[in-house]
Amino acid sequence: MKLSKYNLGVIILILIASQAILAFLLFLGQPYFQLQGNSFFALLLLFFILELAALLIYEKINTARIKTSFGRFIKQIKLGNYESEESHIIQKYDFVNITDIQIELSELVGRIQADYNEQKRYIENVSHELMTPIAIIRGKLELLIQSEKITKSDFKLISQIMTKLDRLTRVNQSLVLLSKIDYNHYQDKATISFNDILDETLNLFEDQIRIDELVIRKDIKEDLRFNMNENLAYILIKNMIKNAVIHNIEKGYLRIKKLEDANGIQIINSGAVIHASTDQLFKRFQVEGGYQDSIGLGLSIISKICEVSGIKLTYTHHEGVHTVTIQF
Amino acid sequence: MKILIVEDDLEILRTVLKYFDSFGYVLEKAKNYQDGLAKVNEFVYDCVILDLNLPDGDGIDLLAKIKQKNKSTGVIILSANSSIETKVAGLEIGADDYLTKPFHLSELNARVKSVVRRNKYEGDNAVRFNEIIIDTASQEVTVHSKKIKLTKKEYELLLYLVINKNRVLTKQSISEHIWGDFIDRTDSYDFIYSHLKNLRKKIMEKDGLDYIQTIYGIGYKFAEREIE
Repeated sequence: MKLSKYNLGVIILILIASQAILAFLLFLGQPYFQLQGNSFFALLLLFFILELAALLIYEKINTARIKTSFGRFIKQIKLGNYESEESHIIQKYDFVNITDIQIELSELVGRIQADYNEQKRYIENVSHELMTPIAIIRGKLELLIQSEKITKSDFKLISQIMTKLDRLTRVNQSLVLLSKIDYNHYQDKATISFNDILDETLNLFEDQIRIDELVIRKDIKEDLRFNMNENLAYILIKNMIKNAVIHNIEKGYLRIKKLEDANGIQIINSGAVIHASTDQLFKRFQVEGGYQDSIGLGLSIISKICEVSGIKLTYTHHEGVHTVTIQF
Repeated sequence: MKILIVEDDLEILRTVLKYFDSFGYVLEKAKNYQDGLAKVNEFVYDCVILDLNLPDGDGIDLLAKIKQKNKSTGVIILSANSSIETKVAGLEIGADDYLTKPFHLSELNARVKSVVRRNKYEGDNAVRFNEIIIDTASQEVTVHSKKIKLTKKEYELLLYLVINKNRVLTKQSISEHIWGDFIDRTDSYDFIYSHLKNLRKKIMEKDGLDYIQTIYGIGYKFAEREIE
């Protein structure tokens, strides 16, 4: 057991003080106890040993407690989890008496936590503040088109405004989603069965698949399970299938299979030959392949979900064959 | 049908009121929690459209009070917060539906109708338009009393159009209603077109009239054709 200089000093001080008090008390009480010189010192020594043992045991327990507390603190910093119920994480961790570094660290975490909460509020406000005016514009346009007096060319203008307004809404919703994932909004985890999610999602896209005459092949026999947030699992699979469907070619194919040697899913689809590097494509608002409706956030969302869920994501493309792999 | 709208944003309030006005509903408005509470205590509504973010009180709390007073009052939450947790919280304490801003007016109308239909004890489950009758309980459609067989999407499309009859519906709103907000692709407008074509054919095969009108560049309208 190692004692810091500070703690050792405190222990010696307590020992000397208590011995002095004890000696004084015994001295005062001598007429009643009728102690001889030897037994007087023996008693003092016995008390001294008992006290020392008690203090050392206390110190040991205390150190262990501080160590666990500090360990938890470090873990929390690593996880980046600042969603604690307490207004200040530092108050929960009682290790102020170890070193100055810990005090500094605590302050730093406090500042990060304040920044985090500030940013979270900001994002919530921005999303709210934007959604309300968008709702009003959308509503007014819906009222406007009911008018009998509108000409064909006016309808065209309104239609163009509506299309852009929709895009604005989608960009806003996607950015809000990305920041929510960033700020650990989706924490609850459960065992997710991916087979059901895949089937459900393919159903959702049946019209696209039918019109583009895509050939779908799903080679997953046993169920694939992984422990992660349910909402994120749905968003992940939807975005993966959506990418494979909308960036496909007419009469193309889409193949979903389980990884042979690991727990994971691979989606292979035909698509355009593209030249951008895969790193580039993961960046926000990067749209390749001339698909006009894309807002360029799908891959960012996929990559962000994999990052926070502990899933390994790889994406390769070669001469029009695109392969996205997620490995649990 | 008596509807109360509790919403602190006046522009949204006005827009919703104006859209709903011509459907023949009895509309009441409340600009805040206190206003809403007073109205709810005084009258019985078929449906309350409730914004959760009110300046002077918690919308969730008002929701509980509405349900406490009259269970069959349908409540549709309107919120700018799309987070799943709020949605779950709202539905758990008894909201009948949840709509996130920005919403389509036609969608709100469809939700109101659906909630009121569901909450009536011995309600009339039929939605009618001349010779067309949609039974929302059995999900059966008849034209001149003759049954027509529709796919799930065709049925949903028809119901959405008829509920918002005489209104121009945007392609975006139809697309979102049928496929959800996830399919955001201009191509989904082609799907609407092809489903509507089939629907039109099936109705006309049973001597129904063609009420589906195309509004150039914008969307569709289900209405009686004017004689030109």
